[in-house]
Formats: sequence, structure tokens, C-alpha cells
Amino acid sequence: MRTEWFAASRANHLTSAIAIRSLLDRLHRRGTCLGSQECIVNLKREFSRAALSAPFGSGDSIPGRVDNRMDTRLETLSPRIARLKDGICKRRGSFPAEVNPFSCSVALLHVSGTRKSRVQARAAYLLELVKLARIGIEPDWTLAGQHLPTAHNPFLIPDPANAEHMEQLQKMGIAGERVAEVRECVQRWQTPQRYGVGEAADFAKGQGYWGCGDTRAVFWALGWIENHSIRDYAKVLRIGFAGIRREVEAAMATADFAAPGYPQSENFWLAALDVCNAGILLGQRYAEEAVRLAAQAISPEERVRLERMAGQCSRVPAEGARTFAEAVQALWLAHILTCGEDGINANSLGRLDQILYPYYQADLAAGRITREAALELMEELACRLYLEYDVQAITLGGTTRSGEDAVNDLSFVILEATRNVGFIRDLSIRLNDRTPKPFIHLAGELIAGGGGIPFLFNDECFVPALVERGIAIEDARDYAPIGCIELTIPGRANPHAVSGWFNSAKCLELALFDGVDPATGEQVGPRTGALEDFPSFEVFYEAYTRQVEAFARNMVYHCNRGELAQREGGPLPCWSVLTDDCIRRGRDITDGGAVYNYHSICFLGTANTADSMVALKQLVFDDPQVSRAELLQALRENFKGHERLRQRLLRRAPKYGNDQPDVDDLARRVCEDFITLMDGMRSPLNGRYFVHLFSFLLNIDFGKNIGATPDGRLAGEPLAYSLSAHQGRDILGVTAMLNSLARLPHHRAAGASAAIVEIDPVLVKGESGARTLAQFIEAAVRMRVGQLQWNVTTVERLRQAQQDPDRYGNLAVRVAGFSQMFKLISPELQEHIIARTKHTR
Amino acid sequence: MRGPSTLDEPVGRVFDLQRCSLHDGPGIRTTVFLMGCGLRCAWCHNPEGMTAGPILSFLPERCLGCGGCLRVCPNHVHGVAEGQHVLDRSQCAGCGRCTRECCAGALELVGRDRTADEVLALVLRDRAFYESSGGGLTLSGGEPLLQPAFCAALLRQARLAALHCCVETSGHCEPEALRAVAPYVDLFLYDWKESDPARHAEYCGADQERIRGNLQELHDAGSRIRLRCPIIPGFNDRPDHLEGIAALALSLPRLEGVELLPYHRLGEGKLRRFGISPGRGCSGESVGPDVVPRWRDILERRGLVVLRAGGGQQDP
Repeated sequence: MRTEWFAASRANHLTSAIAIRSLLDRLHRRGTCLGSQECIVNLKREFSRAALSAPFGSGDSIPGRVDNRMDTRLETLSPRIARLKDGICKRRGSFPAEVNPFSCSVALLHVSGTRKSRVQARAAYLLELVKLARIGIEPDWTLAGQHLPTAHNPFLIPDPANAEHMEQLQKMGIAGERVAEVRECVQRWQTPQRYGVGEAADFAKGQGYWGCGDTRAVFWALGWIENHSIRDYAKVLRIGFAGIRREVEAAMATADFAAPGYPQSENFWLAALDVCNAGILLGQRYAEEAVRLAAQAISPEERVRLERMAGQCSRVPAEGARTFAEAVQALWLAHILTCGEDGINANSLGRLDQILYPYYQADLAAGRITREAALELMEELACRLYLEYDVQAITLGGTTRSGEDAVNDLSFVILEATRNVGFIRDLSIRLNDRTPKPFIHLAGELIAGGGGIPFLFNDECFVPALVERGIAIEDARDYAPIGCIELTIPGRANPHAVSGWFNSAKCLELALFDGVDPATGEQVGPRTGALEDFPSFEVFYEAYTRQVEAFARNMVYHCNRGELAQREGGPLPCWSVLTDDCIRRGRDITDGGAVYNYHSICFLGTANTADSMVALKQLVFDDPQVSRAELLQALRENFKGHERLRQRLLRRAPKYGNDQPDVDDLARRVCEDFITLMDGMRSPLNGRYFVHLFSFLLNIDFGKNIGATPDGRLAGEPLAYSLSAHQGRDILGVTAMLNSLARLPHHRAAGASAAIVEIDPVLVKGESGARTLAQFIEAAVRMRVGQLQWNVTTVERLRQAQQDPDRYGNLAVRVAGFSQMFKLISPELQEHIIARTKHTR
Repeated sequence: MRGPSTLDEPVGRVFDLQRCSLHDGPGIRTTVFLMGCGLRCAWCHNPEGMTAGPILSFLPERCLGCGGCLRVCPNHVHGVAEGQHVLDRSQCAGCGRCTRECCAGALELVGRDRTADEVLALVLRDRAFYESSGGGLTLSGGEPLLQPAFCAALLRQARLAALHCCVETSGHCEPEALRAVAPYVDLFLYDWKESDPARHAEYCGADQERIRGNLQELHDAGSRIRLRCPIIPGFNDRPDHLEGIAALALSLPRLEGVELLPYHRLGEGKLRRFGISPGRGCSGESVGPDVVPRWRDILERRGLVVLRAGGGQQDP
């Protein structure tokens, strides 16, 4: 089993790389007009390197032992789930065995001849995909459903000279002059999806210094919302797509068609009907296929399985679910529809234990289900969700809408299922002062086992942060993270989860050089004064603030453009149907249909900015030991020939992450000031700007474009990850690091915060180790640390994994809001993670 | 050997304050290491704690060769021989001037005088962790009870702050020192290094009798005690010492249990840092993986409780 699973995981590298690439292609398409091409190219390089370094292989001849701490748990899986797991790994996820590469293009052709508005065309396209999809029911599964072609197949434009293209099109009934029609309609469709919102003013001159890759990045703005959602699956479980369709019909029936807004709403409502029809049809098609196969089934067990599946799919997701099994089936098919609309990526499930608990409880009470059966179904769902780069987040625990502890038996069941299956799933738990200890302990056990899951979110920080920014308290208590960490209110919000990224450390560099980028000599930021002339640290801080403001305003402008572009070019009717109050208002989610609209901005560079500032404050301004001219020269020359100065900066000034109020307070100040600045910004939908204290992987890319900094960091070195200390600088152990973290404004970070704490497995070994980890976590919650992720590994182990990737095939690490197999990431990123790793106490 | 103190505010000479300690008593703890020790154990892994005064630490790999220390040292401790930075430690007065000049952090003065208030303030930073884990403050060394006034003051204040307090002691101290701190101590971690008196005198450089007597008195007075037994290859990994531990533990009915600590080699790197030559016959071997489980089995068969350092029962 060990070898088979390993082989399967190898087979999956390509898939995940393809999935990531398709995401990045999408990014690329959107980004081109915004000039951030280089950045995306960089990211792409990052991932494609990963793909190259992990060639597809049968895995039969893997030498040596596979070191996989999670696979021992396979023993606890039933043979059926073990087979499912094996199969899903080989198939690289819940994708149909064979997909015609032109499925999407042909589906588009079918809707392009109509006179539909854009939102209607997108809904009709989804319906068309459901009609065209190959319906496959695999052996052993009780949960029906494979992804629609859109989930990982971007549009392909046919080339008439390519015989293979013509053959594939022929299979879909397209030939002759119809080929040109396919070409045309795909090209026409894609054009307005770019940032086609008209020409922008010449904002760039003198100020617009952004993008990354080979340029020097201050920010990166998208304003986009695609495939970062948590939709109202609970509603699908409650009333089904037929019920939602009745809701749409009722809204249309009661509206005044002579009202000025009616035609626009009608556009949306008709689209919404198509989405509902697509959902209903999806279930029906699986039901029909199951009936067909049941008639041919040889064994009675097989017939029972297929008949049960047919029964479930003929009921859901059209109508409301009556049992736990129906609920899970409805949720999975609704998720397929979601991913069919705008890809898988970070489209997340939300609070799974809360959504499913009523059905579980009712089944238990009625004697329809056992805990073991529910556990097995959750294991099956985990297999269904399998992807190697998996950011389809599931959230457990937290509080109910009325504020009581929400941990239930299903929270444990899902955690156990995740542990048993052993995939590096995207799993978060919400904690607060009332969370039961056994739940924290089980989480500690999972984390201590390696793999970096679950991630921990502190309700005591994020609920107040959301409430302060206009979210009703009941809704705030219902929050859940999307993908990595981005907070949303499931089924009620348009979160623009990764709208923009902002690099504070670059602003600090520009403030040191009067707005001139020292690498190019170009005046890119406002002139805020020469370091030589600043009478005090506070005046320098003022200059930094002015740099931040100038670029932040520019970033917001671009995010706002992105929002507008999405509204005009990319309505999301399926997301809208599953979001309050789109149906009642008759508006798409991109058009103000959601109850809450906001953008989330990642704020990067906190540790380096703070470390640099405290060095300036203490060694340059307050007690001058370093001459300003020498400092600037050393920075320009990347400390070459200035090693004494660099050592002084490194060792004589405190560093963030060691429980030193001097520097931690500066870290808090830069975060707070940015949050305050963003609190004053609004988007076209009157949405607010939330801040994530989060870097994703961009701390590496953004770091490349900053010269040496006064914290002793060399030019091009990656910035610190999110709110973690700069790699290797937190030397006083876990408790000191958490104390530093607790000084930051998590309670104002409505987009969430993030930090990875690296810890030596020796510290958390065995039963007592899991308990210790649970104690760290409990203390962190009480100290009001917002979000935490743990890496339980050693430098030696990572070095060994670099040398011998096969042997350490399944060693997983926290990367940046997600976990990944260590061997799958690029050498550069591996080095960054190794540099972070160290806490032996 | 006592650290300097005044009547008003006792000052302790501290050589390290280690946060997030998981093996010096229950839960997550902060361990305060006090300087000075009456023993001279050949295997000591905190050799910087042996002396009473501050001691200069030198990490040659950090030295940039800038010569700053040479210029400021009034006693000519620092010199260059064959292109290497060399130290004549016999001349060092512990003034620390060179460390202030050394921007690379190669030179460091270990051992600072701190008031109880100062130390407590640092210790209290991790209160949330003590509360979630049942941890607290541990005094260790060196031999903390060579600075009894400071220990008593710190422990008294820690108790007022509702912290759980441990003292790790070699027992080689005045009985009055133990009596002074006992009321404020929740748990003693009492070292038992060698059962054979002659070998004890030879390898630890002091008589065992006082240690045994102090242990008895502490036990009889009702203090909570765990016996900590380091296993050092080539010194005390002998059956007769194991028998000695068993006999001692069985003679003390109120003992909470025995902790077995396999020797680790951390001390040797440290020796070089402080320019201390290794003790006689120090083999530097590590304890074999089967030794602790075997000793534990034998002790448990005698009806003794063997505890994991820092927590409950030893992990299987």
C-alpha cells in the first residue's frame, strides 16, 4: 500500500502543476493589461519548475523506504476507502477519465448564437457544460460526481491545420466551417474578460511603480474575485436547486416590470434560472446513469450501491436533502457546479461540520446511520476533494451564529477522517475561549503528525475585526476562511479575496532614498526627503507613511478598476444564486447582489520593515552609532565591504519575534497604520478594504526586488513570511515568538492574519508532545494571536529530503497558507523554508 | 560563592534564562540558571555555571578579525597568533569592554546580575503558557541554592504571582538554604548523580554525605521531590549505581518518582566556548537507546514510579 500510494502521489505532480498553471494562466490573462505580467510569469516559473522536477512515473522502482509519517494511518482505512484513495491519486483528482479538450469551446459555441446578455450567456454556458459532460460512475464510490470540463480545462482555440484538433472536434460533431465559428466565439468571449473597462489615464508616470518580476514591486493589484468563494451550500441542502428556482420565480413574479431596474434584474433572474436548471440536470444525469448501470450490475451489492446512488441523485441537488448521505451528495454536486463556473482553485466548502450536522443528528436519532458510517463517508468526501495543490478549505468548530461553542461530534468525525485518509487537505479549525479541550488536543495530534494541518483561526480576534467593519455580529460569527486564509461570510459576501498585495518593505527602501529606487536611480515614489535631513526617527516614519499612502492609493485605484472589469466582463451567476441577497435584489454578485462587498489586501514585509525601523531608530537616530551616509552606501553596495556595519545592524538592534516590545511595537504600528489607511478606502460597490496580514508566496518575489535593508537583510533575500519573524531571527523559542505575534493587531485584520511557527518534531513527539502542542495553541488563543500554522519538521530532515526526494516522498510542509509535498516545490522555495525552520525549543 | 546581594533587593547572578523549557518540571516553563556550583562534575553540560563570576564566551566562527577587542582590553586578554584570535583567559577580569566592541557577537559576557523583580518580569511574559500547561518557573544552575537570598526572594514573589515553582538542585548546599526556599517551592528536582561515595568524591569533586543528608531532611520536612538521575556513559551507567538509586528511592516513601536523564553531548561545544578543558575521562559517548528503557523497567519492577522529565509517565 505504501508504494502504491507513493506512486499515486508521484503521478499527481503533473495534475497539480496543470491545475496551478491553469490558475496562473487565468491570472495571466487578467494581469496582462495591468502590467503585472512579470510577476505571474515568475510564479508560473516557480510552479512549472516544480512540475519539471517531479516527472510522471509509475513508481514501481522506487528505491529505499518511503518516509511518510502519515501513511501508517492507512491501516485504519477500510479496504474500500483505501481503494478509492489509490484510484483518486492515480486519476489526479475527481476528473473524468477522458475529456475532449474542446468541450468548453463547443459548449461556448452552443450558447454564442443566442441573444443572451453576458450574465445569461455565462449561465447558459454552465448549463451547456452539464449537458455535454460525460457522466462517469466509478466502482466503489457511493458519492457520485466528477468535475465538469471547465474545472481544469481552459478554452482551447482549434487550429484548422492541426489534424488532432480536427479529429477531436469531429468527435463533438464540429467540422468544416463550424471550426472557424468555434475559433471566433472563443476569441470573442475572451476579449471582454480582459480588463476591458476603457482606457485608463496615464497614471503610471512618476507614481505607478508596480508589478514585479524584473520591475521593482511595491504592489500588485487585481481587484478580482474569481474562484475564491464560499457559497451557500447549506441552502442547496435545505431547499435544493428546484427550491431556489421557485425563489427566483417568486422574485420575478412580484417585481414591477415597469420599474427602471427591472430589465437588468430580469437579465440576472433568467440567468439564475439556467443555473438552477444546471444543478437539477446534473443530479438527474447521474441518477439516470446509475439506473442504467444498476440494470447491468452482476453482484447484488453493486446493484444496491447503484440503486441507492440513483435514489439520492434523483432527489438531490434538485430538492432538499433528507438524510446525511443525501446532504453530502448534494453538497458535492453543488461544489462541482461551482468549480464548473470558475475553476476549482480556492473555491471552498466552508463550515462543513455546521452545514452537515443537522442531517447527521437526525440520522443518528432515527437509527439511519452510525458514527462509523459517517466517518467513512467523510473519508470518501476527502478523497473526492483530492488535489495535490488543494486549497478547497474546510472549516470546523468556532461558534454558532448566536455565539455558543459550535464544536459537535461531526467536527471530530471530519478531523478524524482527515487524519485517517492522510491527504494534505486544506483544513482549518476555528478556536475561541470556549472551544472544548479534547478538540484542541485532537488538532494538536494531527499537527504533531506533520503535514501542517489543521490551520488555526482565533474567533476572539476575527469576529470583532469583522464586526468593526460593518458585518452583523451573527454573520461575523459565521465566518470561514477561503483557500489559504482569506476570511469571508459564507453565502453572504463578495470578498474579492485576493484583490491586491502591498509591500511595506519597498516603501521603507524608497523612504530611505527620497523616493528613488537605488537599484535603477529612477524617481518612482514621491520625494519625501533625504535621510541626512531627517531630524528624528518620527520624521523618517512620516516619510515612510507618505510613500505608503502614495502607492496604496494607486493600488486601490487598480483594485477598483478590477472590480469594474469583473462586473462588466465576468459575472458569476452560479455564485450569485448561492449568495444572499442576489436573488431578492435581482443583481449578480459582481453587480452588488451580495449582502457584503469588500476587497482584501495582503500586507507584506512586516518583520523586515519593523526590524529595519528599529535599527534605524536605535542605531542611527536615538544613539547614533552608524553614520547615515555610510548606511546608505552600504545598502547600495549590498553590504559588500561593510560587514562590520551589517553585523552591528543584525546584532545590536532587537529583532521581531523575540518578545522585544521595542521592535514588536513598530511591527504593530506599521500594520495598524496600513489598516487605518485601508479603512478609509471604498470600492465602486461601496465595499471596504480589509487587510490580510499575509504574504502568500510573494514574500519571495517581492524580496527579489528590494535591495539590502537596514535590518541586515541582503539584497534579493526573501522577505519574512506573513507575520512570522525573518527566517532564523526568532531565537528565543516558541513562547517568545507567540508573545511577539500577540502584539500585532489581529483584532483589526478583517481579512485575517497568518504566521507559520516552525517547530522541531522532538518537542512534540508522542502523546505528551500532542498535549504540549495543544497547550501552545490554547495559550495562543488566549493571548489573541489571530491565525497560526505549524511546521513540525527539522532542517536535517528537509536537507535529507532535498538530497533524496524519493525517500522523503511524502514529507509535507507548510508553504504559505497551504501545505505541499516538500519535493514538489522549487529549490528556491525549499531554501526559504529551510531558512525558516529552527525552533528546537 | 554567593552572588552579590544587598539587604533591600537581593541580586542574583544569572547565566541564562531559558524560555519554553519542556523538561525542567511539569508543563511549559521558564528556567533561570544561576551561576556558581560547589561540584566539579566531569561531564557537566553547563560548565559556564561552575564559576561564580561572569565568564567570557568566544565563538571564533563569528569573529571578523576587526581587532576591536585588542584595542579596548585593559588586561591584554586578546591577541593574535598565527592569524588566529587567541585568548589569555587567566588575565580576564570580566569587565566586558571587549563584548561591547564586538559587533559580530563573537564575544559575549555570560553571567549578569539581575534583581528578582527584573527576572520575574521576564518570567511572567509567558504566563499564558504556564496557565495552559500547568507550567511555571524553575530555578537551576550551577547550583541555585548557593544564592539562597536571591532564590527565596524570587520564589516568594513568583508565589505571590501564583506561579508554580520548581527548584533543580544538586543538594550540595547549606541546609539553611534549602530551609529558606522550601516554603515557596512546589516541587524539587533533586539530582542524584552517583551512589558510590568514593566515586562521587572523585568525579563530582565533593563529598556525597551532605547531599544525602539534605535530601533526607527535605523529604522528612514534607517537600515534594523528584529524584533526577543523569545516566553518563563511562561514569555511572553501572548496575550498582542503579541498585543505589533503587535503594535510595525506596527509602524515601514520599518521593514522587525518579527521572532518568540520558547524557547529551551539548556540554563539549560549550566547553570550547568558555575555554574550559574537558574533565578527566570524559568519553563523550552518548547513552545507548536501550539503556533508559532497561533502567526504567528495573526501577518499575521494584515498585518505583519513573517519570518523564517534564511530564507524566515516560512515553513508551
